[in-house]
Amino acid sequence: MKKKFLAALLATAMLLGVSACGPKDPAPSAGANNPGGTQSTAPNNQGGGTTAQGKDSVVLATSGEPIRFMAQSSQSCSGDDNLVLSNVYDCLLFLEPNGELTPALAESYEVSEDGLTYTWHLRKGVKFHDGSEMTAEDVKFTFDLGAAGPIGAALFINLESTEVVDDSTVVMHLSAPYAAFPYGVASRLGGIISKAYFDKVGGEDGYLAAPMGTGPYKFVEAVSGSHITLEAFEDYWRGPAPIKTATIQIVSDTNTQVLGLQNGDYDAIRNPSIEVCTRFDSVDNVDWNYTDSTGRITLYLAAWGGHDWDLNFRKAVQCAINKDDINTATNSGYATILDIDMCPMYGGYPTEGIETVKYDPDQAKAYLAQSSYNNEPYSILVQSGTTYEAAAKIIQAQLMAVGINCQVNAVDGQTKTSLQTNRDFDALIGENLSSLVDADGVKSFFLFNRGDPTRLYQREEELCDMFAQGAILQGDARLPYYVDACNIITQEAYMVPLYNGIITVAHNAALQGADAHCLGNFNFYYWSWAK
Amino acid sequence: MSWIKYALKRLLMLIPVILCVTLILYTILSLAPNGLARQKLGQDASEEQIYALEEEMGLHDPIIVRYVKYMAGVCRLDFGVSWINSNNVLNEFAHRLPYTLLIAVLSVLFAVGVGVPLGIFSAIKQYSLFDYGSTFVAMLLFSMPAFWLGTMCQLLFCVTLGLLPVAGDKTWTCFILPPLILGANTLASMIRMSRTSMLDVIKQDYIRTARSKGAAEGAVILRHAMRNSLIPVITQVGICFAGAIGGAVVTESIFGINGVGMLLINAVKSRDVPIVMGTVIFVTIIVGVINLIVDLICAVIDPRIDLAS
Repeated sequence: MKKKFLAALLATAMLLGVSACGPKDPAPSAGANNPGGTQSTAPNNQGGGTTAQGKDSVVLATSGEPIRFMAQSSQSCSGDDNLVLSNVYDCLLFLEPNGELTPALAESYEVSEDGLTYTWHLRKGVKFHDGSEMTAEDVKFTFDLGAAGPIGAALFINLESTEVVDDSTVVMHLSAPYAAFPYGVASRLGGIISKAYFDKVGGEDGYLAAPMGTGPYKFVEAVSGSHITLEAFEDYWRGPAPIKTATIQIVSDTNTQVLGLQNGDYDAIRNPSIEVCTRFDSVDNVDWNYTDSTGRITLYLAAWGGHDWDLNFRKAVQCAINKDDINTATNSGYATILDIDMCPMYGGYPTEGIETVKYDPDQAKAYLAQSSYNNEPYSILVQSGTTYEAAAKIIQAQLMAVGINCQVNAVDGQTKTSLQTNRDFDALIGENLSSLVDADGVKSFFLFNRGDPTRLYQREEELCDMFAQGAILQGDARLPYYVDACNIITQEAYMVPLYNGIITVAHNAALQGADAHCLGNFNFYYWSWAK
Repeated sequence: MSWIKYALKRLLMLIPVILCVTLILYTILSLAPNGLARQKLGQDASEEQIYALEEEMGLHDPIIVRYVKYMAGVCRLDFGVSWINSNNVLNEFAHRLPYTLLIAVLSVLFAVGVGVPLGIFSAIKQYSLFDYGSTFVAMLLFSMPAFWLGTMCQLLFCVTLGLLPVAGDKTWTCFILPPLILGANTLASMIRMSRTSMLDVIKQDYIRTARSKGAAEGAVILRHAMRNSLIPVITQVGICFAGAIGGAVVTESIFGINGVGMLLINAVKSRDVPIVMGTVIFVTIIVGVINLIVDLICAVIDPRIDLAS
């Protein structure tokens, strides 16, 4: 009797566990849909789940918390802050999800022949959330403040001064031509702020606490660690948004985000992994889509004092890496493989004359035999808990297969930043995001060394000169410099570009317009519920 | 009045404990690599801007100087502001404590309310089916990690049955699953502890004497055995409650509750020293006070415990 009872109890517990672990739907879809494409939607929405009848609000779940709501502040801002900034502020230009620039608060602009002067013709009748009209003075104030801030040098490159010509015309003077300047204008730093309101609320602190712009959404409240609420601005210059209330919910656990989306607690989740997204293919009420981000995932190889791995060794590493395997393992094959450290959507991306290195383990062994390598441990630095850690482990296996004693040094984000800044690594996997969506962004890795001046690549200055030359020219005239720079990087094996980053969004199937954006922005203005 | 003296003495003893805890923690946090200024200002911030921010954070002073300055601020109830979002540490903690207290109290109530009767009944009916069953449940709950049990319950009660929200803290229904998950482990402890304790007590001579004098079994258990068997259980309740205050990280994370655990873990991840330090100090004080209250309750229940000595 006792034995029977115990057996029944055990069986019940196991059944409960197994039923809870199992998928909601019995047949997960096989394979990847449209790998390598820019947009993909789960095909099997059968209209089940959440109904959108009369609904005019959304809840977006995200693990990263936006905390600074004014990009021009001395406290800077991060990618997470973009969730709020891109909805509360508008720029002179919009950066579209595919990386194109379109008119926004500026109806048009002209560039002088020498590339030193940008003349912006402002849209009339644009209102701030307090009802006041946006003026040329506000634009000047925004750019003056932004240029002086911590990210001004990175996003308003070469901006020398801003001049108000009349109520609807602003001229920006550059100290030297810079082809990617419009991308900076369209970046988060270019979100126009109100000078009068800035003065009224007592400056930066007041503005950060109660931000106000000309964007489609008004800031309502931010509860630390919990949520941020935005409300549609009825006098928005493009007309009011269909979604009247947008809540950005901070949910640190990604499993909870997924379950909450399936349960209808959240309407969309930000940037779930591709592996999670493909599982949504078998869930009725959830769709997902993805796009290439402006980030490159690259393996940087050290070649300086203390980490002076010779050229043949670095070439061996180059040849030993099978990028397709990494893409399959980390992104289910959805990512775009990169041959150079630039995203194809970048302005100035060279399409011809590029030298590439193919996966060739035999050649890798040959290079290794010619090198001075003597089975010393070779360590790959990576931030723990990221998909890059998985990539690092695959590379470790690939390098060990050709005879390199490779180790993975997975550390937290702060430690990685510190080691990267001091160039204290043998190899490093990281994502380089570029707000400028331009080939010039590649130079940031070379300019990043601010720790030990002896830790420079041999041809680093030459490369920086090439990037500087490419940046001041316009159109196709830039390409030869970037071709040369990329080929030097490949010949010297300074880095192994792996794949283009991916931005994903998973959302309720009844939610329309919730498309992934290359910068990870979420423009609630385009979102609406299906009737 | 001896208990007042005792309480004051115990409270004073908290001071060296806090000093030790904070010194060790501050030193570890300060020695860890910190690229916070660069991370906050972005990769392209100038050296001058990074230096100025580091100066503002006090990162250029020797560790001991920073620690003394920090503790001097703490003595004035100035716990500083977060390095990440510039919010006042005291306000951040005060804002999140109610959520953590709520799930901690509910979880302990659940564990005690279910676990103690189960344990006592198991002891009374030793080696019965009920005893085996409750022991099995205790072992099962004890061996299931909170992150797994929480996710399974979310799948079953939220996604599959649609009875509860997966996460959040806005409605009362959000506070059903978290205390159960947080209290599951405590429940197991309660069952085991109260069973063992009761078994010890009911074998004592004075219980046999009470029975031999003809006292009813219910009266023997309730009046004589239970009171004595509760002392270790109450101690365990105190420990579990204190653990729930500082250790609800997993539960809060899974159920999206904006509590102290989440505050602490996020601060540790981002090396937000003022938040980590402030939270640890508050949790240390709360744990110390809870332990004190538990000792006082034990003294009330068991007159043999002499606080004066």
